[in-house]
This record gives sequence, structure tokens and C-alpha cells, in this order.
Amino acid sequence: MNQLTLLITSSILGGFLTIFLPPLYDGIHRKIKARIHCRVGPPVMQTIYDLGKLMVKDDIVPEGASSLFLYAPYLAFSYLLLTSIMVPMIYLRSAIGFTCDLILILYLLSSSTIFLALGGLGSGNVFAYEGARRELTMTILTELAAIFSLISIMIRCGALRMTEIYEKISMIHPVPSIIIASGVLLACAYIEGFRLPFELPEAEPEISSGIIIEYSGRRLAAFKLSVFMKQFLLVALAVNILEPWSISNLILGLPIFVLKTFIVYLVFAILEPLFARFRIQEALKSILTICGISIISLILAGLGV
Amino acid sequence: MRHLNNIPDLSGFGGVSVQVENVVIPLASCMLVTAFFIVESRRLRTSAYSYIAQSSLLVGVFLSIASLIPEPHFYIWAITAAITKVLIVPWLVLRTIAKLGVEFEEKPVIPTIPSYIADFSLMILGFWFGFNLPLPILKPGFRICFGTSLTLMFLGIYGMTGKSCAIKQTICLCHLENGIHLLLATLAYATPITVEIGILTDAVLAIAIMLYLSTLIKRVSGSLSTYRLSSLRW
Amino acid sequence: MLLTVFALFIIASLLGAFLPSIRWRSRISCILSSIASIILLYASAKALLGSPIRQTIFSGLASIPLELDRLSALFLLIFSIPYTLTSIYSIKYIEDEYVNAGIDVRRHSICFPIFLMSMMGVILVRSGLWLIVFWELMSFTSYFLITFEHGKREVRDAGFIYFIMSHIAAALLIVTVISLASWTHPPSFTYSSLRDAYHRSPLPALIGLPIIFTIAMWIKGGIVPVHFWLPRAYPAAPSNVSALFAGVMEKVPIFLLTYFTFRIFDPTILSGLLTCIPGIISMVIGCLYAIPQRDDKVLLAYSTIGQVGYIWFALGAGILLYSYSRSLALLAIILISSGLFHLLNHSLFKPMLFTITGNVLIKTKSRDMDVLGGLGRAMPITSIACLIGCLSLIGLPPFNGFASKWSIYVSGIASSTVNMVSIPIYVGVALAMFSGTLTAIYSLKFYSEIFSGESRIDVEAGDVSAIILIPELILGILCIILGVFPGVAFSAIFPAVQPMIPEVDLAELFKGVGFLYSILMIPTMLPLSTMYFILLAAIAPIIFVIAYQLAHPRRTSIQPTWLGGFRHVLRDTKLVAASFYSEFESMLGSFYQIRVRRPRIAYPEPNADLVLVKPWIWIGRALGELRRIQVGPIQIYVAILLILLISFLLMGVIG
Repeated sequence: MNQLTLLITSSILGGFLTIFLPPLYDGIHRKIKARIHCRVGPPVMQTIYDLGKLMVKDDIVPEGASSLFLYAPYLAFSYLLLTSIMVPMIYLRSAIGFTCDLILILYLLSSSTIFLALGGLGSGNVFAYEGARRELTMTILTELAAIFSLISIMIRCGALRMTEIYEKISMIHPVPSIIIASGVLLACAYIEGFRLPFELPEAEPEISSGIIIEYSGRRLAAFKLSVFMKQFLLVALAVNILEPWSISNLILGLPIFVLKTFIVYLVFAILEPLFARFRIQEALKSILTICGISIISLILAGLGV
Repeated sequence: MRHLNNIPDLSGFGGVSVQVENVVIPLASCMLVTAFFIVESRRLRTSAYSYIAQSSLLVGVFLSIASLIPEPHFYIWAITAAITKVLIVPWLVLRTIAKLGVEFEEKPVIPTIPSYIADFSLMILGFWFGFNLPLPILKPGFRICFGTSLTLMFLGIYGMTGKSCAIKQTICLCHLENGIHLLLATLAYATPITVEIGILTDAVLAIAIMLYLSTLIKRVSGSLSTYRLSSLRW
Repeated sequence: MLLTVFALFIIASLLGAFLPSIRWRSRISCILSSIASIILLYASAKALLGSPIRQTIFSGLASIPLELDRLSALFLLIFSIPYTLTSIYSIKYIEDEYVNAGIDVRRHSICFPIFLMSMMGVILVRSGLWLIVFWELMSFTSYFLITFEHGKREVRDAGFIYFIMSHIAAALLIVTVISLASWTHPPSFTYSSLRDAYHRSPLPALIGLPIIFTIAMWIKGGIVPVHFWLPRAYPAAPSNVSALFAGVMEKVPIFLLTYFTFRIFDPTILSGLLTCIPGIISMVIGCLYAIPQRDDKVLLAYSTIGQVGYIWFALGAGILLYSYSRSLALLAIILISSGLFHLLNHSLFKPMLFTITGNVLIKTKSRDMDVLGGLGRAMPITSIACLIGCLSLIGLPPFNGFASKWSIYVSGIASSTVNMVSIPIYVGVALAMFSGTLTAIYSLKFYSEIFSGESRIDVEAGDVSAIILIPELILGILCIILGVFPGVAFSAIFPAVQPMIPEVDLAELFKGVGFLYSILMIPTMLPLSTMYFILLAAIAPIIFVIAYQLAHPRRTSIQPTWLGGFRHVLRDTKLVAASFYSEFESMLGSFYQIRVRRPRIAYPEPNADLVLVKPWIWIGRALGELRRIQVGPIQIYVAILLILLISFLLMGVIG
């Protein structure tokens, strides 16, 4: 097929994958975590069943809620959907300048985090405030790490558009700054997905579910799906930066991409049961360490290493 | 391609040829990241575990050079390094840590943020030297490894300067050794084995002596800080 | 036409002084100011699209040469929007806030139009002498406006600090102008003769005068080493005045800096660094300090420092590139234009946010975010305006903040491939993105602390009056329009920047490119289709909100908020502003504190035996010190080793 159709199909396919794959991966994650805990665990499709069940529930809105609360999960979802169409996942080369640049992607990802926090802040519940507050505090540093690593990639490759970056990486591969930067991105993906050491904003017995406490029904489904999608997008970015092979045959490219992300999710699933939840001070210290590593990659990129 | 008698040539397997740089450079990058943990971490166990990680990566570098260039005598070096650096030395260090009961290091000579700035400056310096020193590098991708090894050496010596805890200084010395070995591996991977084994055994003995001295220091002066040890003149 | 504007301002001030009716005093002065601003808008738009206007008021010795060239026209166009809207806002605001409380507002009605006029004058004059006159006029009127509520102690202190800093800046400016003027041959103060004088001046002046001038602009512009008057002065002034400070007065030094750097002094690497690096520092520090604030105006003041830092960074980067090599003129012009675009956007959303705090002040009489909250229900339109302002400040895609910040990032990264000069630029871009995240953090705090949740003060429902709301809404609409169609702004900015950098012909470059798509088109960097995605990012939320409305079930039940089963009144459990980011503050605690250095007092020793005995004692001590080398800590020996190693390697590289 010619370039344009290939591109459009790849983008739409990327969008579909981003909606349906993360819940599946979350189900696998829960299964593996359960097995490590020596329990049977939920079936692999459980998260999809959960989301489906949430979609048919009643809509309950607390009396202290603002309109931000009502719209925020959908806004976050829409920004993430837009990003998933723009980020090239399967077909990574394109002669047509159809893709956008890394800065826009970064902005869209940060916007979705901000909207999720805004939703929590708009719910009028003080537990949600506490969760949103912790999320925002963590986000400052996580976004810093992600920004520095993406900038180091952009500077090392001398390009802003994703397709140019992938081409450049496959030419100059391997490069220490890009390896370290994609490692940092994977760590950020883990943190942004609210995986266990960093599960502060969400389901926390201390603040009884934190930001999602007042959400129910479709909004909760949109919220959870947004978090899954955000983690998936960061993983997809990192994985494609680490190994930017590209095959123009979509039928072959799809399993390879799924395999790449699956391996990462497997590692995440094995990592999560090893940790207990951090308090906010410890979480900030760990994220600071990750920021330090991203500064290493920034310096290396500046040196041209 | 050189063949020793029965050591297989793994430089091209299954028709997919793997370049040695493709493996060594990612390993060297991870070594660089662990270097920061070793030098800057306040918790002694974290430094020790990062050192184990870094040495394992170094063993990986040796193995990949052995199989992919190929230089078969690196297998021996890899095994020796694995035994000494990954098993013996960390065991000695961890045993000393457990025996002395210290968890966190003493207050360092150079405080945190200037220390990080010094680390980053030494990293920039190391890579600058790596790219500008007119030494013959046999493989083009190894320039980066050369720079990494110089950085590791600088960070190791700097760690000995900027920290005052005796055990931390010992670990930084080991880190320096790692850097030197990486340097040898990238610059001179055709040298005979005897040199390498000699260097390795020296490292183990030196570390053991330094750790024993640390326990003595702790016993005599009550803390592991070497900064104020002025009564040691002869 | 310019004369009409000047005259209207003066009449407004006189009427404000002498009109018998108290209520109409303030109203008339504000109304006439707004009319004058609209005429200014028209005049500057005409000059920007058409040809420059040159005029001389009076003649002979007291002649005031005015010139409305493209750059001045751009700045006046940008200024006239906050001028007009703030003046309209002031009509009712001063009345509601002060006149109804019985406070005499003569100070405001006299000084306000003169303040506007003086800033306009600074931009328009082309003579050093009149520049100083209008600058001093600006300082004085702004001082009187800041100390409007002079009954309060902190207002007087703030005014005092502002007065001193402002006059230090004026003094530096006077030094520059007069030393240049002293070298002019037929003694004159006009800019063209100052330029010739600069080129003929001796070397120390050649380097020193731009530095002194830049430092003067730092002080006035609130750049970090000398910014400390700003967070005190902004809360002290009435909200409409703060809005003008943030929207207009901060931009006047930028205009002077740009004009002087390109027209009088030449752009050099030093001037570029002096603009770029303090900009980067202000960006980060302004945003960091805004996070823990409890007073909403102080938060906005620090936010202004941060955003103005962006502008200085972009300008400095452009000057740096341009002075490094003329072949980078295209990148330089795009960086400068991005900086000016951010200036335009900042002048739109920052006055909006300050006037919103004014609204809140009218209703609740409080600036303390610890007690505010829950005003979203009581003041719905204000909360929507605030949301638009906050989202523009953060820089989210449909709004203008995104367009300008994105332009700065993209052009900054595009220029990072040049050698040494680009290190500050790409470090600046990394820090700029970080400040973007920080901005998101404190604006979210600002919005949610004031408008979400429950408040601790009783507020009656009902928003403020329409005359106050309309300017804010107009600013909000402008933010959205410029966010979706940034090409409009660029088509105004590029012709203004073009004359300063003649090596690139932008009109030629962008010929044939449509009106909508003429956002940043750095050739070979950004294709046309990127614009589609930016538009899409702007439209996507709208699409999805519509989809949500369609897809959502109609059955919505409202339940009480879940508080763990307790029956608290929500207002008792509010999350206060002071603890919003408390972990961050404890991490950066030492950074936020000011360290007080105690002065060291040394008492001289009596020196009776100074000549005879002391030298021997000193020699003995020195020899004892020598012994120290031997018994020093291990670290020093190892450090010597490290230094030796590095120097040997260095010899290997150099030798």
C-alpha cells in the first residue's frame, strides 16, 4: 500500500491498540502479581469485564462537585486518544511529514495528567484533594524526568518529529544517552501508571481511594482507562525509542510491537509485587534519583555521546 | 577470526550477526548509571549492591568481547572477574558492613549538591578526554566505552576524595578498579592474560586489607570517618 | 492622532482631579482613558500595517520627537488591549471597591491616566531626555498608584522599596543616556545621535554602557537578582493597577532593551547572554517561588516573574544567535518573534488573572487562599474566566499560552545544533519545559483553592457586575482565538521584527502560505501538517465533550459527598493553600529561606611588638603549617592524585 494509507491505517490501529490493549495488559499484570502472591488471581480478562461493568452503572455525582469534575476524565481520555493517533507505534518511518513532534506529545500527556488531577480537585471531597495534591507533587518531578529524557533524545538526534527521530536512532544505534533516556522513560511510565511503590494518589487505604473516591460509573471507567492509556503510551514511546525497527508490512509489525510492549509489561508485573507503597517523601526521593539519571542522559546528549 | 581449539565462534549465529558495539555500549551505559549510585548513595548497602550490578555488567562486557570479536581468552578474564568482583569483594564488603553494624555513611566531606555538580563535571571531562585523546582505538564504537571507562575512573577517585566513610572509600576504590578494567578491555583486548589476572588478585588483597583497616579505625576512633584521622602520622 | 491620545489622557487626569462629583471623577477618568486607549489601538494598528508615523510635538528646545515605527506600533498595539480593557474594568472596580467604602479615589483618577500616558510615551519618544522624563513620570505615577491604600503598613513598605528600586533603574538609565549624549557632536539627545555617539565612544563605554543599561532593565523588569520589589508591590496595588503592571509595565523594559540593542548598541554575545541567562534563572525561580504562596496576588506576582523570564530567555537566545553569526538570522528572528508572541499572550492572560483576583476581592474582601474556596458556585462566570486564564498560563493546546511556549521550545531546540553558543539555549529549553510543569502546578493550586470545594467565608451568590466581567471575558475570548489561530499574531509580529534583522526576508519566505497556517514554519523543521494536529488538539476536547453529552445517561443522581461516614461540614475540612505542596516545600526548604548573614566585626589588635617579635612568631607558625601537609586527611592526597591524573591526560590531549 502506498505511504499515506499505510500511515493512516497505522495511526488508527495505534488508536485501537491504545484503547483495548492496556486493560488486557492490566489483567495479565494482576494475574502475574497474584501468582507471585501465591493466590489464584482474577482471570486475565477481568479488567476488561470491570470496565464494561462500570459503563452500565448509574451516574452518581456528589453534591460538592464542580463541572470540572464532570468533564475531566473525558477530557483526559480525549487528549490521550489524540496522542495515541499521533504517536507512531507500528509503522515508524514516514516520508510524509504526517506525525507531530515530541513536544506536542509531551504536552498532551502532561495535559491528561493535569486533567485527572483537576478532576480530583473538582470533586469537593477532601480525600480527593489529598490524593490530587500528592499526585501533583509527584508529577512535578516525574514530568521533569520525562522532559529531560525527551529533550536529550531530541538533541542527540537533532530532530523533533518522531519519524525523523526513529530513523536517526536506527542509524546511530546504540547510543548511551538514548539508552539511558529510554530507561528513564520506562521508569516514568511505571510511576505514571500508579504502580505499586507509587500508588499514592489512587487506591490508598490512608485516604480511601484518593482522587477516584467520588467517581463512579462511566466516569470511573474513563478515569481508569486514562491511567492505563497514559502508561501504555509512555511504554510505547520508550520501547520504540529503544528499538526502532520498522517493518512496512503492518501484519508483521503489529505482533512485533505487541511483543515489545508485552515484555515491558511483564517486567513491570514482576516488579510490582516486590514493593510496598511509598510515603510521599520516599516517593519524591526515588523520583529525584530518576531525575538525576535523566540529567545524566541530558549531559551525555549534549556531549554528543 | 582466531580460533582456539574447541571454543566456538559465536560472532555470527543463526545468520544474524551481532556487532560487539551493540552489546558493549548498552552495558557501558548501564555501568555509568550504576556508577552514580555507587558514589552518591548514602546507604552503604545500596552502594554495595550497585557495585555488584556494575561488576556483573563488566562481566557481561568481557563475555561479549570474548564471544563477539572474538577474543577467547576473555572468557577466562570474565570468569575471574565474576569470582572476584561479583562474589568475593562484595561479600567482604557486606560482611564488614554487617559486622560493624553501620547502615549509613558518615557525613561526606563535600556536601550533596556540589558533589553532584562535581560528578557531572567529571563525567563531561571523562567523555571529553575520551573523544580527544589521540590513543588508537581499535574499534570505532569503543570510543564511547573509552570515555565511559575514564568517567568511571574519575568518579572512583573523586569518591575517595569526597567521602569520609572508610567503607565508602573502599567501595569507590573498587569502582576505580572497574574503570581500569573497562579501560583495558576497550583499549587493549589483545593483551595476554597474565597481566589481567595479576591485576585482579591485587584488587582482592587490597580490598581485604582496607576493610580490615576500616574495622580497626572504627574500633580505635569510634567512627568510620577518615577525614580527621591526623593522629596516624608515623 | 497621537496628540489626541496624549491630550485625552491629560484631560482625563485633570477631570479626575477637579470634577466635583466623587463618583463621576473616577468614572470619567477611566472612561476617557479607555477611549484614548481605543484610539491608540487604532493608530498603532494602522502604523503596523501601513507606514511609520513620525511626529514632533512642540518645536525648538522642548521638542519631543515621537516615532511610531513598526516595533513601537506592535508594542502599543499589544499594550492598548490591556489599557482599554483594564480602564473599562476600573470604571466599576474602583467604584465598587473604594468609592462605595468612602475612600477618596483622587489619587487613582489623577495618576491612572498619566501612568498610561507615560508608558505610551516611553515607547514613542526618540529622544534620550524625554525618555528619562517619561520614565520618571512612569515611576512616580506607579508609586502613587501602588501606595493607594497608604493606611496599611505593608503597602507603604512595598511602595518604598518599589520607589528605591525604580529610581536605581532610572539612575542607571540616566547614566547611560547622559554619557552617550556627552559624546554627541552637535549636542543632542535624539536616538540617532546617541547611536553615532555610541559607535564613537571609547572601549570601556562600548562594553560598559550596554551592561549598565541592561541592569536598569533588569530592575524594572523584575528579573531575578533584582526582582524583590515585585512580589511586594503587586499585592499592595489595587487590582486594576496590578493588572497593568503585569500586563504592560513589565513589557516596557523589554521594548527598550530590544530597541536599544538593535538600534543603538549592536547586538553582541555579551548582551545576548545578559538577557538570556537571567531570563532562564527568573523563569525557574519565579515558578518555584509561586508554588508555596498563600496570597493569591503574590502567587500571580511570582508567576509574572516566571513568565517574563520566558520572554527574556527567548529574546536573549535570539540576540545570542544573531550576534554569533549572521547566517543564523532566520532562527534568531523566529526566537525573537516567539518571545514577543509570548509577551502578547502574557499581556492578555495575566491582566485577566489579576482582575479576577480583584473580583474575588470585591466579593470576599480577602486575598488569603487559605480561607477562600468554593467560589465557583457563587461566581460562575468569574470561575470560567479564571479557568481559561489558568489553562492559558499553563499552556494547554487550545489556548494561546501553548502556541507561544511551543514556538519557544521548538525554535530553541532547532537552534541547539550550533556549537558553544547553544548550550545556554538548550539548557534554557529544558528548564523552560520544567517551568511549564511548575506553572501547571501553581495555577492548578490557584484555581482550585479559590474556586473549588467549599469556602470558609460566607459569600452571597451572584457574580460581580457586568462591566467588570466583560473585559475579562473579552480577554478570555482573545486567548482562545490566538490559541487556535496563532498566525494572526505572527502576521503582526513578523513585520515588526523584520526591520531589526534585515538579513532575512520573511515576507519572501512565507509568500503563498495561507493566513491560517502561517504559524512557525522553520523551513525543513516543521511541515504544514503539524498545524493540522495542533488544530486537532484544539478541537479534540470540544469533540469529546460533545460526545460525552450525547453518550452520557440522563439519569444522574446527586449524593452527599463521602467523608468516611462522618458528618462533617465540608468547609471545616478544606485543604488549605499553605499545605498544598508541603512536601515540596520541605524538600526545597533551604532554597526558600533567606539566609541572613551576620556581619563580621573585626577588632584590630594592639601592635606594640609588631616589628620585633611578631615576624618570628609568624615564621614559626608558617613552618608549623607546612607540617600540616604531611598529616592531612587521606582525601587531600587522593584529590592530588585525581588532579595529577587529569592534568596528565590534559597534556596528552593538548600536546
